[in-house]
Amino acid sequence: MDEIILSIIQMSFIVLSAPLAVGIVKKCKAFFQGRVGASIFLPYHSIATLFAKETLVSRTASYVYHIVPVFVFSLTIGVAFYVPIIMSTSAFSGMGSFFALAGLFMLSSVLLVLGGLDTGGVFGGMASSREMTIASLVEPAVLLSFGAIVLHSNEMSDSISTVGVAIWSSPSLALATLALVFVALAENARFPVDNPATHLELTMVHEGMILEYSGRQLALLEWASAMKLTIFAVIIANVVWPFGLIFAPLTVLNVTSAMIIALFKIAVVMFLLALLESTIAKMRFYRMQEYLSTAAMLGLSALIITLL
Amino acid sequence: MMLTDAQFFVPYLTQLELVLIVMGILSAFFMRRAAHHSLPLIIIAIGAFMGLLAGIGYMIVGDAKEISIVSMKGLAWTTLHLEILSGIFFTLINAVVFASTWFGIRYTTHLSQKNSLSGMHAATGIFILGMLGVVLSLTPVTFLFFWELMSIASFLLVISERTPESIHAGLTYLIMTQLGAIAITIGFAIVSEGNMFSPFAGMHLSQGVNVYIPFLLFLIGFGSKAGLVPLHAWLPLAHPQAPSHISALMSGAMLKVALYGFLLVLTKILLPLPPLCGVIVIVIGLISALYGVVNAIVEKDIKTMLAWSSIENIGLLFTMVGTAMYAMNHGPAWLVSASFVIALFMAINHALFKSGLFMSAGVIAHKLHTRNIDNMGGIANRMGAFSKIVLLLALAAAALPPAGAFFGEWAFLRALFFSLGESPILDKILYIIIFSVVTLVGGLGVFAMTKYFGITFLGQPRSDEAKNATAPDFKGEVLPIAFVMVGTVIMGIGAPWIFASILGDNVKLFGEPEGLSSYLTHGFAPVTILFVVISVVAYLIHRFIVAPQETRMVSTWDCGQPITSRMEYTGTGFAAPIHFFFLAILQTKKIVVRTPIIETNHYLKSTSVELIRNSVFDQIFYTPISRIMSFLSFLARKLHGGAIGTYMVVMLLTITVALIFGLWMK
Amino acid sequence: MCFNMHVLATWKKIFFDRSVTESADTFLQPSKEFEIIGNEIYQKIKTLRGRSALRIRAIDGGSTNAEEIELTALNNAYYDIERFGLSFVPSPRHADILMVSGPITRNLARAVKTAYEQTPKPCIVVALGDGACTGGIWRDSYAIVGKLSDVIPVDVHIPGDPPTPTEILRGLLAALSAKSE
Repeated sequence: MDEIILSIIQMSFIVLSAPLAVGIVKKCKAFFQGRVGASIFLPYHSIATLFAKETLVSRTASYVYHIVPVFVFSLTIGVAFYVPIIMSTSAFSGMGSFFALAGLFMLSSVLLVLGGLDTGGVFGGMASSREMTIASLVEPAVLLSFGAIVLHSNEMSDSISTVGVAIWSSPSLALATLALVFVALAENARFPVDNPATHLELTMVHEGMILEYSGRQLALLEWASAMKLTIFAVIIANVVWPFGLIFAPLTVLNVTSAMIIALFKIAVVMFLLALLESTIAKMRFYRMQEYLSTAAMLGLSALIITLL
Repeated sequence: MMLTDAQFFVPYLTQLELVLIVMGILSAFFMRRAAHHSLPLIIIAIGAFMGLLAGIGYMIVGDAKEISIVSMKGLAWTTLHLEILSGIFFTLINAVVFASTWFGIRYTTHLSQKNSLSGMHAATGIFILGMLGVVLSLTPVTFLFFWELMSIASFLLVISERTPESIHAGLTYLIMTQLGAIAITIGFAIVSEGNMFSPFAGMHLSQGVNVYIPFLLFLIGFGSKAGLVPLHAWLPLAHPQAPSHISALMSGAMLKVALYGFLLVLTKILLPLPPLCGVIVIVIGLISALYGVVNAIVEKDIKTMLAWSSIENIGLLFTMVGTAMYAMNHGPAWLVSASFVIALFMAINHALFKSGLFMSAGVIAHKLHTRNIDNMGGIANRMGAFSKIVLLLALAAAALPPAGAFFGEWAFLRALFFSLGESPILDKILYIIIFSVVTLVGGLGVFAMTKYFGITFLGQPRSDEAKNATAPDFKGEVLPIAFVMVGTVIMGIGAPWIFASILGDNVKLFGEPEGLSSYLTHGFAPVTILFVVISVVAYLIHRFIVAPQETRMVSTWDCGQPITSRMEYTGTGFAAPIHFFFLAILQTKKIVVRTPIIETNHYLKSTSVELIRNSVFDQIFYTPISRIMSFLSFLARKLHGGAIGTYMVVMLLTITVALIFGLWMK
Repeated sequence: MCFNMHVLATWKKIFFDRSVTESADTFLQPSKEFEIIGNEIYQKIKTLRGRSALRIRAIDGGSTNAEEIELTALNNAYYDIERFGLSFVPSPRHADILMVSGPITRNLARAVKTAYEQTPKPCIVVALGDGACTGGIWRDSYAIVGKLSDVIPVDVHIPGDPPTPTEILRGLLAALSAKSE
């Protein structure tokens, strides 16, 4: 029973803290631009606003258009339940496999792509093509970098766990973490792969696919992408600094401290993300293969060094 | 005799099936009136259903015993039998045959050449009989007989439209498949030491024979049938030319028969092989997979695209087999069993989803009067049930949860990943290379399948035919595809049990190291349950949160200018980034021709752009061979001068050389 | 790679070097009025039922771009309207407020109508600048359809050619007050 409670607590934590993470990135970016910026709680207000509005549906759209937001949202919730984020290892034996994680995220990318194509708009198709290219070419890097990290913590298991992993303990972990950062930036449509704040349709990747959505469907999609960002952020933070995770006894103190530390980690990662986004430029899309193959090579060398 | 005893009902049902198929062939020959034209397919479909029951029954209660189906006194070599390896392939062939003949009943009524339908049905029956015979046969003689039956019948089916393209494709196919058959025959002649009437089980490599010779002959023979690079050239030509239910059979069943042949000679005769053989199979498999998937992404013709994707699937299957062969020498023992079992599991999956996709391509091509993906789109709403089934099939083919292929790829990658810890460094590097290329191919496979579904079904219709397309016939065309779709889902949900069953049956072949089955399927059940919960949650969110909200229908956001389907992304545009990133593999040439509209004005020009894809393998493999062949035949032509003296000299030389060779061999 | 030495140089500049420009308050007093109106809007938004962040989509109905320059100024470090819970979005489907500028020309009338149709209700339509309010100096020209209210229903008019950022915010505040009553 404890396992289920713990997983549900973790899931709720991710669901509730995800908009905050986006708020923190925006606040930090405003700081680097010399602005005061919006309140870090603005994304919650945005979601609430969207929930109160009507939904517009394109006449071209089919049932796929309606499946996409709910399915992407519940898939992301499912991942938040499945992968250990504020726990040291997965609650259930056999859960938290990084292969399944990659598969579930791939499925949600595919659904987003289909949603982008479904309305028959011009920008939806363009963004879908780009998103699909990135999602399919980043796959080796995802599995190789997670593989190197998992191989460190425990042999004969593919469950993501950060027990006994600390970035200073091996050079291969540093490489793997770097590869994971590359992957996370690509998967979450951040700089240098995509500009999340762009208003120009021709440069969009993630925004372009959700351009047609409105009301509650849009709220679900924005929430899901915030959750995905948070999940990646905490996983990376755990690899770099495996501290404050919940171990066996399930006490209120334990859970509360783990959550507070996780919030702190989210804040730090989001600050670093904002710093990165404020200092580098977006890459040209047709140079993406350089970025993605660099990520894959980093993961590959991390795995080989781990095995030496 | 109990009814649950496999010895009782399996032979009975299988015999019934073979009789029904023969009846189907005969009825096609004798009942040529148009009113009866679908009778042969109905009979064959009933037979295949019997066979499917027999196969599943054998897998469940067969206890991996050898069961003889047909045996004649005094002619032991003609025995047809089922055993642990062939049982799996027998079942999957029957599943594909059942679905595609059921589909064919309705589909063939659309075909233009109605007068030759009975001939086509007869060829279909012979083709099916050939495939079943290959997996049931006990000796090389029957194996080769049925193999030729299968090849010739499928050649006739490829050229059934009699267009110049189909005849070109058919002849290419015939030449390559016959070269393959020659290689297989020589291979069997070597390993059976000339006695082709003895069962496979007793054969072994005799001392002093170089093991690479039969191995390479079998690899060429079965690989050319399976479509491995560089012997794949016939596959993207022949599959699209055949009618769609035949393409489904060829891709779903025939390619797997080739895999069966390769596994048969490996497990019964050749193993253990030196590690280099494993590396050869792995390298060829990985190259096929990558080359196939990149071509599938950029291809415009939906059936050719599926054919390329079949090359990818076969490449992955051979990679798994090669990994097992290699691990037999070096790697951990359980990687051997794991890779073989996963290869068998994936073969079943590929058979199911690929036959379903080919059938769906047939429906689309018939409804939209084109196979060009750039003229499709916007049919998801008008073909509700059909498009939902194809969506699930495409997700299955992309190896995404919850379909079986996802669990198969997961198990294979994990098996490689686990064996990294306990192998020497060179093996580790080999496994890491396999791991990375398989993940890359997996990612690109998702791209290909997303393009197949997304561009074909979604968006605005890109042609008038797409705008006016009507829903396909439910019973005759949608249900058979739904049947294989349900099969892929069952393979996903039942993955742990199916793995255990295949493994349990094949313990004798590969051995089962301690606790392998739990390793293989570790963590499958939680993902399946999670997926079910996710679907329920998604439904609840839709039902209670999204759906109650007021909804207003509007046109697609167009930035103020009305958009037409001409502005939409096409399949070519969708695949353009991959096209650009993989130019080195694809060798595309862009030819732009600008001609002035008026001769006196050079500024107004009409421009036409053409993309030509060159095959690397054409340049480095096929063209040189054809050059050498034409040069040799040019030389040989000089002998054909008609002078009787020349002929006498040639005959004399031939006899002398044959005698010397014979004496020397002795 | 994009990620090279210049990134490190930038970080050094951000964290360690002295600022190359003087800070704003040495030569510019922050506009008190703007702050007050902004904060009032922020409070007002919070009282709106069920919506507490508003997203703006700007539409050019054929303006001279003077209004667009003022809208861009709203986003800059000095005015920074994000702190009042307002932000700009790329699609009318995501928007709560439509800001239309310029007299509505014949070529863009359809675009304005579509955008209005594509904005989920409830939404606020703002006619920004003299052109949109009355037609401005182009009134009665053959090239324009007319003022914005001839094309779509308008909630608030913000006159001025162009209106200053403070005036824009004041107009928004008026619209919000009208809506919340």
